[in-house]
Amino acid sequence: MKTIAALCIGLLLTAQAQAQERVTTTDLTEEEARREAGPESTPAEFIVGAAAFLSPRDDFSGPTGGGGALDLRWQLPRGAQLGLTAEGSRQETVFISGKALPGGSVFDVRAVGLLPISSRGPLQISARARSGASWLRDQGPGGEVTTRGVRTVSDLALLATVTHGERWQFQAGPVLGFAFELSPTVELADQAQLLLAGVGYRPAPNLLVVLDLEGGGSFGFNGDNAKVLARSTLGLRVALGGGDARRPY
Amino acid sequence: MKWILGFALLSLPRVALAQEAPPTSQPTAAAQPAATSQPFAASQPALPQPEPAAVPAPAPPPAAGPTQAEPVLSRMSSEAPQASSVARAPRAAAYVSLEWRAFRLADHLSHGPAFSLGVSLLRDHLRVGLMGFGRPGPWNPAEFAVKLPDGVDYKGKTELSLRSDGAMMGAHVTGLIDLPKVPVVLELPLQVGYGGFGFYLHGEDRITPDGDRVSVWEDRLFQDTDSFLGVIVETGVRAALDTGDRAGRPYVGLNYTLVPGYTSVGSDSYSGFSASLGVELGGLRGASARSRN
Repeated sequence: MKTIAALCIGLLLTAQAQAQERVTTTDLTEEEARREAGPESTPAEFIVGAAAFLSPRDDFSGPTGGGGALDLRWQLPRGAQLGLTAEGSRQETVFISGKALPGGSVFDVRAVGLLPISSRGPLQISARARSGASWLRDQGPGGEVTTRGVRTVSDLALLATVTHGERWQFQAGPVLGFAFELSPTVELADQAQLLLAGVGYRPAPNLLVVLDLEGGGSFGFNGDNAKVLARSTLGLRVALGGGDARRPY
Repeated sequence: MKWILGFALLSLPRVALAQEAPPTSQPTAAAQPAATSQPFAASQPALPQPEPAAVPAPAPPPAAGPTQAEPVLSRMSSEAPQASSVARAPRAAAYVSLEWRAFRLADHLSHGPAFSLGVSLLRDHLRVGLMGFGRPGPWNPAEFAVKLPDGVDYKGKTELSLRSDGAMMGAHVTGLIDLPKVPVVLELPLQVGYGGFGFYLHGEDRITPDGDRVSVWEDRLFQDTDSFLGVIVETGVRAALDTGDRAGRPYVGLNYTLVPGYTSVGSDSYSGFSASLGVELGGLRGASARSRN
């Protein structure tokens, strides 16, 4: 413990020494200051998105489910976004009250907010929060619904979005997800750490085709959940006001 | 002795720094206008920009004070006044790093994602924030043979084959040290958090004899020793390529994860090393890296 404390103190002193070595060269030129000032005012406009997604099996031998999603955002000046997302999917297995049930469906509705944190040149770092509800149901052998579940679902993400050239956009970041089952039991359903990576291509100024991969481990229902969450998404985003579709999402 | 060793080891870079030549006032590529479009700063789709001409060396500083072209006074150093400085660099900036790890924990190989995010301070020589990593069980096929206690069996079996999973999340502090003469930044992270590692029934064994939940059976069979939750400490070293660009800096790292007080079936210890390959984005690197010659 003493060694660790000594190392930490030494680290801090070293870092501070290096920082002070550069104190006379950290003033910015006019161009750099303008870039550091963050995004200029952007027009307020609606951005809509539609996507299809697949969830792979644990051994990636095929899909275990898939569905579609709609996304409607109102982009405020200076890049903040507010909106709603809705998605529906069919899954080979749904987890309700810690039981793996066959042949289910899931429907999600979430509010979404995105806030730019920093922007410099082609890089923007944004915080995104989504929160809403999820309805799950299984499907018995005869097609009847025997079990229904309701959850609150939320996630926080820190997204780094980088544009490249005139047409490309890359987005990546960690996503921390939380889902609590409210019915039929009250229990932590999923606590997930996911990594998101995506690429976007802009065929026209206000259109963006996106391909996202998202995946990571999850803990829930005392270990009786799926243990891993993964998804690949292909979508299209349209800036209805004619602005640049290359935005964090 | 340990205190002295720790201070001595970490004072070596400071000695190396004191011997470096002072930085010049020449602008670097970071000061040139970007040739690519910057949609986050433009309301209309950007038109292709012509390649900028080479930036000439700055004119000698004027004898008088700042002119109208320099509306903001820069902070004066003890040397001659600097030209064309109009604003201070930001003192803090957000960063995020994403990585994939290969673990050597519990005497077996596994892999999983990891991340860190937070605030970059002290000209990106100190980072403070949140980190986490995971070792998803379904993505790691390693199995662990566990013998059940005498007189106990599960679906007629007295020895079970279990899989393992785990994750942690916590706070981290990273010190960053620029290596002299090479564009490499040495990062020394220290992470303290909370997490867990455990072992679980898989495959056909997850279909329980009485339809009860799998976790109920696991607790019954292993007397609640199928998992461990507690404090996890991690440290390591990373080498990041300092591209002078906040858009992305690749890095490799070696970490040691310490799981104190670990007790569970399947393994005597879950401590061990891991290797990282990742990319970091954001932070204060870029404008503040101009002093490197």
